[in-house]
Amino acid sequence: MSGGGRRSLYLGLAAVAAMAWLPAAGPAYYLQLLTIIFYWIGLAACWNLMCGYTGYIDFGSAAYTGIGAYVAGLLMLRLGLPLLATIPLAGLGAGLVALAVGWPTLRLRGAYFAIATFALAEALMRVCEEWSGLTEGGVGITIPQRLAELSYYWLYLGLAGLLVGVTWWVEHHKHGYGLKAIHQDEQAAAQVGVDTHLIKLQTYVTSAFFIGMLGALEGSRLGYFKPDDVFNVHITIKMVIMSLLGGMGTVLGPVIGASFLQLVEDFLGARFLNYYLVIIGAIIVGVIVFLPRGITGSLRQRLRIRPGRRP
Amino acid sequence: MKFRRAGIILLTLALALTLGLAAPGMAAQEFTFGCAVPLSGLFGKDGQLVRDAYTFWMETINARGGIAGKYKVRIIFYDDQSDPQTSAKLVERLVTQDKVDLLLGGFGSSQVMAASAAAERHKFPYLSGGASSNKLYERGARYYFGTLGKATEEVRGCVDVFTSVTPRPKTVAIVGANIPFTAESCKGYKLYAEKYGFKVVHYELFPISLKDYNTMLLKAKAKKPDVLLVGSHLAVAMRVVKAMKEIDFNPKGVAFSYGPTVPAFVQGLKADANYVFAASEWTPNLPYKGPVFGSARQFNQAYRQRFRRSPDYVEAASTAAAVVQQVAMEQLGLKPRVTAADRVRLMEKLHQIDLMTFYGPIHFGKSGANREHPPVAVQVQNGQLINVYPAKWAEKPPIYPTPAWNKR
Repeated sequence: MSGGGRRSLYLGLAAVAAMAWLPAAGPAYYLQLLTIIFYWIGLAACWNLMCGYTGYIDFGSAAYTGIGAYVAGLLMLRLGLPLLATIPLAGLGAGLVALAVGWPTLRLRGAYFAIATFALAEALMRVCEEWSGLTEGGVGITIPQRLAELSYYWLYLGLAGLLVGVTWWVEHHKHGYGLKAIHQDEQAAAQVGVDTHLIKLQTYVTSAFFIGMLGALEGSRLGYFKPDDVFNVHITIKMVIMSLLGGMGTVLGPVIGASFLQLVEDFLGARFLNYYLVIIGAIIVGVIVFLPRGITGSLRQRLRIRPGRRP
Repeated sequence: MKFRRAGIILLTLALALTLGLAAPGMAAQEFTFGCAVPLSGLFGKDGQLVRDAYTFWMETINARGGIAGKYKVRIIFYDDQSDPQTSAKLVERLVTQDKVDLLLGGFGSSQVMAASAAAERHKFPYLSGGASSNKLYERGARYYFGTLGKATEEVRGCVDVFTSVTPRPKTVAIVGANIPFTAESCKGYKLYAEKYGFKVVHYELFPISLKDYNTMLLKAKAKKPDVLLVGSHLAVAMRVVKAMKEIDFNPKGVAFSYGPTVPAFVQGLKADANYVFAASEWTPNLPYKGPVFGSARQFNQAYRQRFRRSPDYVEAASTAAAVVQQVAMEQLGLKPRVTAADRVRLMEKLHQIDLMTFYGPIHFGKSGANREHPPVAVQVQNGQLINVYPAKWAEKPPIYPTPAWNKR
C-alpha cells in the first residue's frame, strides 16, 4: 500500500471518530440532519460499490431497503425479536435474495440488467401489497420498537464509515482492479483471468446485505411504513443521483454526493419553498453537464490527484 | 473554458443562498407555527389546499389583531415532497431548529404518521385535517388529534346516497388504491354496502403506481355492477374517470372517497367530471356555526373571496384544526413563547374540548379521533359540487342513473 493511500485511510478514520464525538456538542437539528445524511451516504456507497465500479446499473436497489424493512419489521411484530437482533437478519435476507437474483441476472448486461432489477423491486412491492395475511398489505405496518435517536446517529455513522472503508479497500485491492476491468471490457477481463461472474456476485450480495440493514434501521426509525414507502423507486433514483453527483467509482463520491444533495435540499427548501426543486434540478443538470465525472471525479482530474499517487 | 462555466454556476448558487439567508428574524409578540406539508410529489396538489387553508386562517386571525386579539400568527411552511422520512425530518427541524411555538398538521396518512410520531417525541400537539387512516389512532399517541373522521366512516356518505335513489341499485363493484386511506375506504364501502343489502360483485385493491387503469376497470365492467365505488385520492380519481370513458364503462353511479371535491378535478376533466359522487365530511350549506369564521356559509364566502373557489372538506377540516387549537390556546391564556409545560396543558385541554365550529362539532375525547360527523355526499352537476345527501341538507336531488358516455 502506498503512503498516500495509507494517509487517506487514517484521515478517514479520524473524520469518523470526530463525527462520533459530535453529539456531545452539536445542536439537535443538525444531528438529525446528519443522521439522515449518513443513512444516504450508506445507501449511495452500496450502490456505488456495485454500479460505480462495474458499470452495471442497478435500478432496483430499493428492493433491498424494502426487504430489510419488512424482514426486520415482521420479525419484531410476529416473533417479538428485539430490534437489534433483527437488523443483521434483515441484511441476511436481502443478501440471500440478491444471491438468488444476481446469479442469473448478473449475466445480463447494460439496459437488460437495469430492467431486470427494476422489475424485481416492483414485483416485491406487489407481493408485499397482496400478501396482506403476512404484511398487512398496502395499509402498512407499525413497528413496535425504536432505538434512541442518538443510536441511529451512531449506527448510520458506523455503517457509512464502514462502507466507505470497504470502498477504499476495494479501490486499493485486487478485487477493485477486477471490478474496474469489468467496467472497461468484461470479455477482456475474463480472458486475463478475472472470474467476472464471481466478483460481480460477491459485490452485489455485499451491497444488498448493507442496503438491507440500512432499510431495516430506517423502517424502525420511521416507526410506520407501507410497501410503496420502502420499495419506492425514488430511493433508487436518489442513490443514483447521489453517486453521479459525487462521482461514480470513487471512494468519496457517495459521501460528497449524499451530503451535497441533502444539505442543498435542506438549505434551499427552507428558503425558497415554491421553487427550490427547480433550483435543485438545475444544479443536478449543471453538475452532470459541466462536471461529468461528478464533483470528486472532476476535482481530482482538475487537481491531477490520483489515488495513492503523488501529483 | 469549462472552469469559467462552473464558476458562473457556483457564483449564481452563492448569490441565491445569500438572498435566502436574508429571512426575517423572529418577533417577540407573535406565535410561530410550523407546518410540513406535501407541495410536490404524489400529494402536491392536495397538500397545497392544506397550505391555503392555514394561510387563510392566519390572514383572518391577523386582520383581527391575532390570537386573543393581540398575538400575531406566523407560519413556517416546508415541503415534505410526499415523503414520510422528509416529513419527520422537517418536524424535527421546526421544533429544534426553528423553535416554533406549535405545529400544524400535514396531509396524507403516511406522512402524517411519520410527522406526528416525531411531534409525539417532542411532546408537541399535532392536529391534522388531512389524514384519516384508522392506523393513526391505533398507536396510543397522546399528542395526535384529527378533525376528519376515520377513513372507514368518512366514506359512508358515498354508500348511503345510493339508498336514496330509484331504482335502488342491487350490485356494487369496489376498487381502490392499495394505500392506507384508500384501502380503508374500500373496507368502509364493503361494510356499508353489505349492511344495506347491495351485493358486492367485484372487489379489487390495485397498486398506487398502477399505470394501466383500463385493464383494471375492464374486470369491474365485466361484472356489470349498478354502482362503482372507488377508494381514491385526486390522481387516482382522475385516472379512473378517464379510463371509464376510454373503455365505455357505464355504471348507473360512480363514487369516490376523495378527489372530486379538489378543484383540479373539475378543472382537469371538464364535462367528464359531471355526475360523479364523492364523500364529504362537510359542505358549505350545513347548519354549523362557531367562533372565528361564523357559519359554514360565511366561511365559504370569505374563502371564495380570497381564493376565487370554494374550499373542499379537507380545507375546512384543516382550518378547523387550526381554529380548535387556537380556541384551546385562548382558553388556557397562552402567551408567546409557548413553553413545554404549556404544550402539555394544551394537549390535555384538547382531549377535553367540546366545540361547535363552522366545520361542525369537534370533540376528540381520549383517542384523539374527532366525533363522527353525519355522512354527506356531493355530486358534480354542471361542473358544480352540489350537496345531494342527506335529504334534509340536499341542495338538489341526486341525478341517477348517470347517462351513458355516448349520450352526454
